[in-house]
Amino acid sequence: MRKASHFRRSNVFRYGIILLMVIFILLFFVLNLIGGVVEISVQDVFNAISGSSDVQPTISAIVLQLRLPQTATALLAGAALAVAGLMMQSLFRNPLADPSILGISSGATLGVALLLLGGFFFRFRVTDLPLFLSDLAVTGAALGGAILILLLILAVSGVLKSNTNLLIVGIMIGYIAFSVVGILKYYSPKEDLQRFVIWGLGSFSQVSPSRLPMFTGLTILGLLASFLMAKPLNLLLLGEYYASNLGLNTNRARWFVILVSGSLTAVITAYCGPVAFIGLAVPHLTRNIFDTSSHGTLLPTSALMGGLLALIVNYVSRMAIFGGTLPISAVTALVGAPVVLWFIFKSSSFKQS
Amino acid sequence: MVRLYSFKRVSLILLSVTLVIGFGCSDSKSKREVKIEAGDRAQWFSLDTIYDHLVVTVKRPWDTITQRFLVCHKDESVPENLNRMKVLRVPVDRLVCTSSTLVSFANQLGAVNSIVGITDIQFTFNKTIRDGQKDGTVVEIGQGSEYNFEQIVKAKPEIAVLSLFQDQQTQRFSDLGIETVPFADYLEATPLARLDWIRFAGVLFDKLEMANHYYDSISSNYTSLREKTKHLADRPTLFDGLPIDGTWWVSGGESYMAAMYRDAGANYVWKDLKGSASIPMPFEKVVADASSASFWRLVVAVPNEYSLSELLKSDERFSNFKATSKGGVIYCNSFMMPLFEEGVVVPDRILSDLIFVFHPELLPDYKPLFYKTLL
Repeated sequence: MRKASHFRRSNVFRYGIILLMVIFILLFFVLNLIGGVVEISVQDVFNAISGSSDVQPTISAIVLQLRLPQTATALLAGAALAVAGLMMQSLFRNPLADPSILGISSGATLGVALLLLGGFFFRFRVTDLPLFLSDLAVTGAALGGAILILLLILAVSGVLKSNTNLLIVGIMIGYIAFSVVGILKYYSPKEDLQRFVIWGLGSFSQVSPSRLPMFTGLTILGLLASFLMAKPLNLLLLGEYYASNLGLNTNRARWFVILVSGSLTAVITAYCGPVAFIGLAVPHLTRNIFDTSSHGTLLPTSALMGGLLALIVNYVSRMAIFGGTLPISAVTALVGAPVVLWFIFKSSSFKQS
Repeated sequence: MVRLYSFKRVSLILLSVTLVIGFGCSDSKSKREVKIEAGDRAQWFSLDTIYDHLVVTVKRPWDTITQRFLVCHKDESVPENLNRMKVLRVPVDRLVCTSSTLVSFANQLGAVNSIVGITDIQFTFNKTIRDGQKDGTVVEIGQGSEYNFEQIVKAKPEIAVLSLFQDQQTQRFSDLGIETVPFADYLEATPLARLDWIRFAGVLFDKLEMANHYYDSISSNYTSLREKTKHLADRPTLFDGLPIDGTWWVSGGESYMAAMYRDAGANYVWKDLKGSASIPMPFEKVVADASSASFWRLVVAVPNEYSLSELLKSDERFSNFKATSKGGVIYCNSFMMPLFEEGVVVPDRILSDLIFVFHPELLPDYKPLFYKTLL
């Protein structure tokens, strides 16, 4: 067993796992393009992507305008949420932290609730808005709410020196948002409520091709910025006093970690709705697989693992036997939790022996 | 002597579905042209007679529970042999309700003044109700799924007509001494079956004969339009719905709209889809099934004029549908037009709107009311 444990740490093992993850990502990326309610042959999928004229325009539209953006969105969103979750867990040195811990996704939810359910107070309904506005309006409201809370948290983080207190502030903001949303839901007609509930279950299919470049750009920017945080995160993990003794400006590091993680969460929640579980679970998965706490390894591998998990979840949610319209958050934990549990039991049995 | 609803009087009103006993129906001239089919009558309520007294029964589709009311005129006393039934005293002069379609039925029967409270009043089109709100004679009794019981008590209703069946909320009405009556026209799967609920409204306002007459005249229009399209070989294909967060919600093959499409001489692409409600469908299936359909029907609610370019701007993938490039998008702006409120009393007009789109040669010089081509 000691041998196995030693083997787990070797670089060969790590690169092997990374290679395996990349292969599986490619595999599930292609599966996501092939699988779905409408049966499309592998040949047709490749013809559609290569722009060949041998494929029907309908099939080509399904592959290029529906499945491809949705698959890309899933990959990016999964990666971003996993990274954001990892950063929160390391910053607060709390294994139960996730991207929503600072109330940023609650802010997004509140923004959307005010838009979709605010009719009681504001005397309008989102269905009253011009249609082209409504989808954009939902994204805008989510982004607005999330950024507002993010700015608030950033401001508070300058005042509160204790991470624990900051964590409590984030959780309190979440509770306040939850209450306001509860009041709005209580007074809402059921059609509006249904729209809100659907949004709250998350979806990778809202990003249309024309909105994909913006989404991709923002997400990749956030991911790249997060990779620059590896060193300060490693130091923060030692504890704030230790980190500052080692020459880290902990306040500034903390501020940047919150900014990057919060922005990623804000963007993903705005475009996909609140997607649960990935941000909480994937960091544990990668920590257990790679048996390390170095963020040089954890940040990129969490991104890969998050992307892979989201692709699997997206594939399952679109399977024909489920009617092809299962909401994302209803599937993430169902698919992901057994995997996480298996790894945790496996790795703890390693450590004990 | 106690004057009751005699069987003879009722028989003028009851048609084949509810006519249990065969005498007394010599006077049925109003029915002569109407080609009534089984689906044209309400399924979820019926008018019957027990010992010559009118009884209204409301069923609900998901279980076998029925609610039954003995209809008894206010001037009459409840017959002793039936005094254990729930009694509905008519005409109702003050009622509160949750249904905007009941407003339209009442309006048609000249009884809208009897409505003294309604939920979500800001979405009601009816002018009498809106004016009543300003005068304070009509109050908003709640919003969404939440009732304002103080307003309800203040409105002093004789009954509360609720779209939902008994639940913990209706118990609160009973606790306040207000009888609740279910009104579930929205459960009906065809336009004429929904219209049939005007007879229920007729019972409430003691205007059953007027309601019956109205049903006969509208259903006569409707069925003669339906006869015109019945044997047409050329039936243009059609789909409907709009996506919410990437998932479409389309009309089930057994729905009210599917029946309307069939009667309008169109070939609905999901006519074999099980279900009478809206059904979620993945975007890709909609593209696969409907991209070559000639027509796309949708309902939008926008406070301004709507255009095809606005629709296409909302999601560029809509341009995959042939209907968007051939002027085949038909729409109703339910923010401007009382489609859901008043449409229920004029299904013949909605049908004409659709026929005018699918088969314009059948209705020359017709001017559409609700549905228009999106340009």
